[in-house]
Amino acid sequence: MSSNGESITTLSLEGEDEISLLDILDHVLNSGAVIHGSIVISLAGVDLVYVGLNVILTSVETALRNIKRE
Amino acid sequence: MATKTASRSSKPAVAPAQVLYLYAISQMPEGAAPAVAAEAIDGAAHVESIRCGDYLCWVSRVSKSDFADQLNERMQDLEWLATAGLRHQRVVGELSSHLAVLPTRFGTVFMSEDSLAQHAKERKRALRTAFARVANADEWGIKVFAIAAPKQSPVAKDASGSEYLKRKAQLLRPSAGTKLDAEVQEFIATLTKLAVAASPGGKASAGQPGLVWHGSFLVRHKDRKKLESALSKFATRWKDARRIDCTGPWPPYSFVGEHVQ
Repeated sequence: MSSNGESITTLSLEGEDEISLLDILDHVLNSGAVIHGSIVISLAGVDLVYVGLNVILTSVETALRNIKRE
Repeated sequence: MATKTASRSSKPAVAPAQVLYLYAISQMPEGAAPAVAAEAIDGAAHVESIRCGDYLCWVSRVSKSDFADQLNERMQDLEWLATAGLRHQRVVGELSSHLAVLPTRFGTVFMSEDSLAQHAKERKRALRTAFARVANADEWGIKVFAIAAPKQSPVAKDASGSEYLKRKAQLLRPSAGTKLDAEVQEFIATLTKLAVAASPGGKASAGQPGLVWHGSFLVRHKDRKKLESALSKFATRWKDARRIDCTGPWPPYSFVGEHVQ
């Protein structure tokens, strides 16, 4: 939250520490299918991933913190 | 940097147990193709470029077993997915700081250089359209959260672990069919007007507590100030009612698919 009391959080990708893993997955999993139909892998499992993510948001964040420590 | 042709006679053999993981497609750089410092998707291979017609495909050679045969299984392991997703974004992010790129969705894998070249060739026109759409623009992720007292204490006692998970899942489930109020609709309309295109938000964070709406906007570099002032205007107006989260600039993940008009 900024100092002038506005309820806005602007996170820059340059300071990646503040970007939540969920945001990254939103962008990299959800979209970017440039070449439809040529994808050898079917991402049928993605919906299962979302179920998992929504139930255990906290452990995903923990996983992200662990990566950053590497 | 590899600039191999797809001619059959001179094609270097890809080891049978390896496949090509595609991060992004870029236009040909004016000079030499930049070297990528970011770690590859598997943390081992280098990121390299393969010339396909007028474009460079940015790939790394990865295990067929992990990224083709068992990708869906691997993705259920959230620690693995977290690491790989972050690596994918870092590579694409680095590339897009040097070149205009079309980012590829996570998990796009080709069995050989030939099949990659073939598909790039077949989609030449779609690629050209996508490059034109995202030129001089960035993607911004926007979320609106309701500010309200939590309905349930986070320290509530549960009899068992599965009860806890059930309660948490319940708490995170977005209230289906809730109509957006006029204020939020006005906000979306304002951003849509200053953007080149808008796209619904991803499913990964759809269950975040208090999330009212989320989506992505493709905004030309010259209009970034307009975006900032619009966000600021609504943030001031909403002060105690709603919080706005803005992330970016992202590579234009949500605006390169063939579904985008």
